[in-house]
Amino acid sequence: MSNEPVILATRGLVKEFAVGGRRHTMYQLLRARLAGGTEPPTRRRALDDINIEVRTGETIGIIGDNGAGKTTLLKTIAGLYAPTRGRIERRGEVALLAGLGVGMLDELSVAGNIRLYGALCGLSRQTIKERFDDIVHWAELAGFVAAELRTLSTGMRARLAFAITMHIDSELILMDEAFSTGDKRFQEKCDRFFQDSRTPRRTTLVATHRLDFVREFCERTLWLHGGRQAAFSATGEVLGRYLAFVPG
Amino acid sequence: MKRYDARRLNLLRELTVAQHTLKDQSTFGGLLWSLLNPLFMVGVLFVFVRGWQGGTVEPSGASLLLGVVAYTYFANATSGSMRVLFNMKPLTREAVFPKELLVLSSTISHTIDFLVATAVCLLAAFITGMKVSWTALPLAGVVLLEFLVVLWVSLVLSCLYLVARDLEHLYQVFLRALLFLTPVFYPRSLLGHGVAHDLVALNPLAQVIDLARAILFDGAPSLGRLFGLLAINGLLVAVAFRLFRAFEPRLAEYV
Repeated sequence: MSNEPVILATRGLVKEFAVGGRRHTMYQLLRARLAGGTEPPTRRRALDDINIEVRTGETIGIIGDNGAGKTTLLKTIAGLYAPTRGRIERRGEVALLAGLGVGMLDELSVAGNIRLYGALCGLSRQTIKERFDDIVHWAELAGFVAAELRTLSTGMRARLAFAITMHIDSELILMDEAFSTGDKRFQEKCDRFFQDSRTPRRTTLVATHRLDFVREFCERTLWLHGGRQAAFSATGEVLGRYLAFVPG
Repeated sequence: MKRYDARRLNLLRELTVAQHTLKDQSTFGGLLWSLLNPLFMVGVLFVFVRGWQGGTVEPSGASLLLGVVAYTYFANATSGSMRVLFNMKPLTREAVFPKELLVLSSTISHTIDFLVATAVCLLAAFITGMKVSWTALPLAGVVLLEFLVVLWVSLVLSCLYLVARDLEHLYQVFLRALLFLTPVFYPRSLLGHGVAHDLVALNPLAQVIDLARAILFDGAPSLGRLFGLLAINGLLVAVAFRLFRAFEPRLAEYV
């Protein structure tokens, strides 16, 4: 572990969700109010006592089966979910990539989406203007700048989104399966960028099922199982334990 | 990133452009409809109210149009902004930025149509004989006042809508009632000085329309009243922002 300052720490982090959702009707709310409250809803614990410390410049892998709590952890760290208990200590600016292209709109042109998605990724107007051509070039969409997004294939959209996210300069980047879309060539291109863009200032948490990616890029790995912290240590050690645990 | 810096303002701008495009108002036809809608409503009211009031219509012409434009803006902007967190749920659920920007961008997007429609009102007033003078300048303050009213109502409704989705239906009923509780197509004097008059005085939309008509058609704006209402609604906007931010960490769970 490096001696860099801690950029992110979670202390006894617990996140619970109400089972059955939190949506009501006015009638239900009024009835509950008149009846003096309702039975407390059944709660599902999605994260249970997560304690991690991440230092500036580290790349942390987050692995685990579906439903293990990977996405919930990233969203809670990002501030989209309020912790039920425990606390999160975070420094610097955070960017969450919860799937490529979240926020892009079918009705806008490629150019319009570069401006919108770029702004959502925290890029300034000037930066977007300066890097516009680079984005279009990397995404291989030179002939499609005026085309509506809806006319693009899934692969083209993924390339466009990734080409924009490449320019994010947040200190803490949270990625949730960001590289799992697209074909093999796209994934290789992403991996190459990931390798080239690592800086001592940038800290990244990557939730993924791609163990080869975790092995290649992540110094330490967090293994979540059923919302609990099964292991958080050097990647080789955690992957060894995980592979021994996972049947097949 | 600070809550508001140049990048956030850029995001606000892009969200506003996107919402305007989604409303189909970015095309010439879309813009035309945002003008034609209040004009058609004025036409309908004109026909019915003339029958009701026995041949004369008061408020007439441009004054009626002004009331209709103010009401239409309030109704469309608050209804649209109420749903914006839900309609843009991928952003509400997955993206990290101050979510009030979604409500703010929706409100601004409707305000653009309102400004165009207000310009048409001014043109209509001019054509029907209003003398253009500096006394019309406080109208900018009235536009700001209605924007503030729309903003605080939208911030509160957008959160409530996530908790109780049937609020939309109740709000539509409320908006229909509001049309009759606001002196849009009848003069305020019709209410006399009783309880009805006092109740309508509590209606911020009635205040906006009253002020706008006083400025444009009576040439007698009450600046003290305008500044007082701006201060009250500015305070309500501040309170609404605080409530919204308190609810913000739970938005993703409700969408």
